[in-house]
Amino acid sequence: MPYTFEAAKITAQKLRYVRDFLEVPIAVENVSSYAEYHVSEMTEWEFLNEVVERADCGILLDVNNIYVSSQNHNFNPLTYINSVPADRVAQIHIAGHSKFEKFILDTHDHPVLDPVWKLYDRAIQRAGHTATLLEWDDRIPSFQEVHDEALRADRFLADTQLKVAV
Amino acid sequence: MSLANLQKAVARAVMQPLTRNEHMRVVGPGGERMRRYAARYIKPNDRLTSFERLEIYNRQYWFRVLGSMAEDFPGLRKILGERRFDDRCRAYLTECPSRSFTLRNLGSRLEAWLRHNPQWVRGKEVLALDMVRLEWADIEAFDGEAEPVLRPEELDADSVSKLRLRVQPYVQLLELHYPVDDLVLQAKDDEGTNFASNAVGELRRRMKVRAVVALKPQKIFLVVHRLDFSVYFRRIEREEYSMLKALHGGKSIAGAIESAFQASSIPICDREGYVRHCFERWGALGWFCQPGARQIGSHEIGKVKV
Repeated sequence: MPYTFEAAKITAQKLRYVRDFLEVPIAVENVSSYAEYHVSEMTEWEFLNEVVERADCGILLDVNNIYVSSQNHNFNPLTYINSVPADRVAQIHIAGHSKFEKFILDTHDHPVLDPVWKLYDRAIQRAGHTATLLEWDDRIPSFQEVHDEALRADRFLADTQLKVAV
Repeated sequence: MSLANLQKAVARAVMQPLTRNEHMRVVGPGGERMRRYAARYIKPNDRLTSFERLEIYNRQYWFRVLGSMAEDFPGLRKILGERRFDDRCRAYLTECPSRSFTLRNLGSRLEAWLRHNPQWVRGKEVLALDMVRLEWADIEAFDGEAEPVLRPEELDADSVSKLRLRVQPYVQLLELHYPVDDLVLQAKDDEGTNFASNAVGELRRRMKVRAVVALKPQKIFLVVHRLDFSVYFRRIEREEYSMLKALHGGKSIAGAIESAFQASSIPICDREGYVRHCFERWGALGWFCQPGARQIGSHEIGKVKV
């Protein structure tokens, strides 16, 4: 998908159509990407904002995807996190990824890496206590290992609540 | 260039088959050099050329669709062997690429494609087609539409013989030449088993080959259905199959029963009890739906809204 105003308009129209059909609020997830189009007119986060404002829908914020795209396209992932309208974030996804020589791939087959946890920390500072899903759907280890990773997210959420309470 | 044309151009490149070494081909759609084709749409960066960036999508597309076919057709994979299965899937997906929003529908045209291209399963045509039909029925039964179940009190007792019962859309009826249900259950079992030892793995592979070789032709009648979110294969007798098939085809109950007992070896004196027992069992499994209660499909609602 090129990040153009035409694409944003069409995407938002389709989102509104789906929401009206289902008659439930919906949220859209940011992708992990590996290519950029010559015709793009804006950054990915500007595109996401354009789409969700036009569609008046929520965001499923995948912080691993933001990290993957930031490494593949040389941008600061915190700029992305800080630009997302926090009040629209309905759910957060975290996951592991795989590093290759020249790019990284969103593979959901590793523990969450430290830079992604840092982005997650920042995301929940902005969006508050938000439902979080750990994605691990390939080369799945023992339940205990996956569960421990999910509990790690709980600790970040608890810290955030503490900070809000203070 | 419009958004639609750009997306079509990129999709053509992404869906183009890979080389034998699983890389993007140097010749792109329409015979153009792929480097030039990719550079027209995709920006390079400091690490990757336009070609290399597009290649990531091209490879991931094929890895994903081939992986999905292997998940959906473990029995066919077992019959053909892994390498042949992958070759056939590449040929199938090149002619019948993914056109649906869901990978669930990826194998929907496989049976028709194999019928038109029997050379891909030469020597095993009947067995392979039986397996594809069963594995596709498995998918349809898993998430096919379920309509409100018909309750006995909704039947008019005076006109039962003229009544036309409707069979649930998710109930799949198959007449097969091989007992492929056994084979597919074994294949699924194998898929779910991880062996750390290569020696054990090799032994399992030999057993799989023997299982396929040992499979003898045997006519079976099968219902593939769903109960409590699980799919079941249920072997039935020819008479049951004929009745259900006739009901599925819109025949009245009387017509369905009549067609079931043509050339039947079941003694006439036993037939009444046999039919009663069948209908009781099918009713208990919820296989009949209310006449005229068909829910409006999503595409139909969509049309109304447009």
